[in-house]
Amino acid sequence: MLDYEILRLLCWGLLGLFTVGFALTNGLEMGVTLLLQFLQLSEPQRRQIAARLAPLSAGNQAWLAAVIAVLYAGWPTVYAVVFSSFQNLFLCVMLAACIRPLGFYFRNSHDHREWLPYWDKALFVSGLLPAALLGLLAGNLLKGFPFHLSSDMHIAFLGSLAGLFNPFALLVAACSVALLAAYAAAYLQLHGGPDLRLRAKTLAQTAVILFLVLFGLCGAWITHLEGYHVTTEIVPDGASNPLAKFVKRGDGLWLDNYEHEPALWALPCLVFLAGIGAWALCKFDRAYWAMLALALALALAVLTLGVSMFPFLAPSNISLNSSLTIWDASASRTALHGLLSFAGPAWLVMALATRGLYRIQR
Amino acid sequence: MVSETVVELSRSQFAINAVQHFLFVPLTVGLSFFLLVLEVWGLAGGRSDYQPLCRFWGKLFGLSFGLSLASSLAMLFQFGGNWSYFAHYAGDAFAGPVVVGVLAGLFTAANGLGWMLYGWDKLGKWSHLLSTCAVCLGCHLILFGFSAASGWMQYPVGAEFDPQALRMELVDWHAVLSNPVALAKFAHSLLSAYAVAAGFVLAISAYYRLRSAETALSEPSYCISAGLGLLAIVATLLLGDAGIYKQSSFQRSKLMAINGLPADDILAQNRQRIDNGIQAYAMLQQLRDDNRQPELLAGFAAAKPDLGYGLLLKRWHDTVVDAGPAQIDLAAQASLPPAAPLYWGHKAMVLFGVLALLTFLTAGLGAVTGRRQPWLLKSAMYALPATWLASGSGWFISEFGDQPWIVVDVLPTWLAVSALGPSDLALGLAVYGLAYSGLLALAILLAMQIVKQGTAELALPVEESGDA
Repeated sequence: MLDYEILRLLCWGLLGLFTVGFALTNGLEMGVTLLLQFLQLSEPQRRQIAARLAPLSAGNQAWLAAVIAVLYAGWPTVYAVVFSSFQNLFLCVMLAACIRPLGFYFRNSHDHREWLPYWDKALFVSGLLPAALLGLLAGNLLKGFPFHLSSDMHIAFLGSLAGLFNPFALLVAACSVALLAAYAAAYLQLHGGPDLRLRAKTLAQTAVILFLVLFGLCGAWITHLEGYHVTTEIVPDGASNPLAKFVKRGDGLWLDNYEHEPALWALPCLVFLAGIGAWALCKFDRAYWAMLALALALALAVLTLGVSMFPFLAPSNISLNSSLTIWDASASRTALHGLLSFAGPAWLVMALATRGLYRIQR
Repeated sequence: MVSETVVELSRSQFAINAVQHFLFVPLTVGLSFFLLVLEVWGLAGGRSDYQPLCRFWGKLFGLSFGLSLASSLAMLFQFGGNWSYFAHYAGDAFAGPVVVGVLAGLFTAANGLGWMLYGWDKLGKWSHLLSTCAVCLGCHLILFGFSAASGWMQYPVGAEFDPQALRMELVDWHAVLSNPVALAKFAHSLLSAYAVAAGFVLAISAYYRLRSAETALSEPSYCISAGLGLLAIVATLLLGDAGIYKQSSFQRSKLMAINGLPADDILAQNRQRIDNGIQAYAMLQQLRDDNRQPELLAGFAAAKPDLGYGLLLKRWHDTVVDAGPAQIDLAAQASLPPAAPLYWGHKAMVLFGVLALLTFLTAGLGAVTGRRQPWLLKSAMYALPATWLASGSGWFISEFGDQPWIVVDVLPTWLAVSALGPSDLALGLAVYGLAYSGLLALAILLAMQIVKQGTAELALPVEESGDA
């Protein structure tokens, strides 16, 4: 069996991979459904796009379930804290995830034409809502959110739903919507008809620029945002007891990792480069490559979030020492070992299968 | 301090979710198998007309799968949302089977589904059969993962309490996945899922036969479902549920309650375990204060299997350690499963099971002899809820019968909830309840439309439109 420390690190990477898989598949679907409302498409065009996504929709939701299951198995306490604190936010994400496959399915069955406008509206909301709310979640994770662990590990959330809508989190949410819109627009530029292609191209370019500006703003804000740092010595192979450490908070501490390991700057820089590249590729009608570039930007943006917060998974801004890191809130060594040996190969199979299924659909 | 309102609200939310789960998961698993049987039957018999048949039942399957997916997602969100202390306390071992169910089962089934429903024009008949196989396999793996998870809650093997992390920690993967209670539950719920799906198909086929409509659809569906249902019910009866009950004293006390027998010896035993649990809890507090004396560690190791019984006291006495005899009495009384609901729940399960057996028996005889008297068909139609109610009472016994435990002998339900404000919870419950009823109403409406429409349009090639 591997070292506890190595296991924690590898499983953290695995969680990142699953999140990337979720963002690339489910994110595409969210982006496309939210764009359908903007592009003023004709019914045949809508039908064609829906027919393209419908067979993949349920599989995309399985990626959402997979991220949650892997988080649960790898960091049960983080799962418990995050899902109880953001309970109502996740309720909306979940309902949206349930509506999309059904929406696609029944939008395209011939017999309910009178329902079409409703399904379209439902699909639009079920795309926009999770895209924005998951961004909001990411923003709040970076800021830290108000939870407290009592000595017997009971979790108390001391904030409110309204408190989640703070300016920084809203900025991250806007950034996430812009990125997913750009990614989906490139997809429509690639797969839509001639008329749609042109409009999608303009939209993709605008959305990429918007994303780059917002991403830059997030970056600038983070240099002054209060980050978190463990001040006591970290025991990477110690027992999972989050209450045995001290945590401090200070401006710009989220940049610590980049100072210690300058190579990490490559991640956010590559997001920028990929974004600029995607803009140029869209302009010169290389839609396939533009989509790949945007997929790269999306994957790297997710990883940037993870790396900036490392080793934190869920910082608390009200009871700093309750913050959860990958070292002190993980599953046991046996469980992590099992998770890695099962979910690691499973990720590979899932990624290849998903790629294959998207390919058949082309 | 945990408030009763929070516990009640969390339990109501779970109850809604569980109802949705028990309505659609068995139907989905059973139908996935029925669809596979149907497609193999069509292909092997070289029948040219099996496609509309598979498409028709596939439509209904898609609906049922969508709702099962919704309820499974809801469960995944709910364990952390409403039951965060449980998620923390038991997640190390409990999440393992969940991962298996989701990564292997849900993913396979969800991706196969897309191709099974939409792939008729795009795939050859053998690759379509492959997608149906994927859906069937995936559905069975989901059921296995969830049975293993809920079986672990009833009989938590392969895990030990760790005082530093303050939770149950996994020590043996193999034990969790080959948990005898989980395997018995899996077999039992799989067979009852087949029966539920067979009852569903039988009722709709009988509806068509009664109107002499859709004969190409209803004749084979009627015969296959009658046979499948009969086999499933007989197998369930032969297999019994003994495997679920013989493993631990709590399961035995459930069996006593089901049979209406008093469980005085188990009560006395539990009182002893509560005393032990108080000791274990006291020692745990010292361990949490970083006391590492070897005799304390040894003492705790000996007493920790009863720690859960100490936690049971928390409801009446938060500090546990200095609980009085009256409080210990209350906790001991509460440590037995609720007798009356189990007793009547089991009677209901047997009653509906027998009803279902009679339905499948008469339908099977009708299919063999070619009789199609209206009363025969009507009884098959009106028996639609029987299999559901039988399987539902089974779920009820198994889940409700675990009270007061969420993880038997380890963690009381009362302690497992999230410390959320009642208003937040009430809001969540209202939204969830509303969305769920909407979804259910929509599903029933759509299912009725699908049935009304029959196979009329399904034999035609799907019109290709679009400007691409």
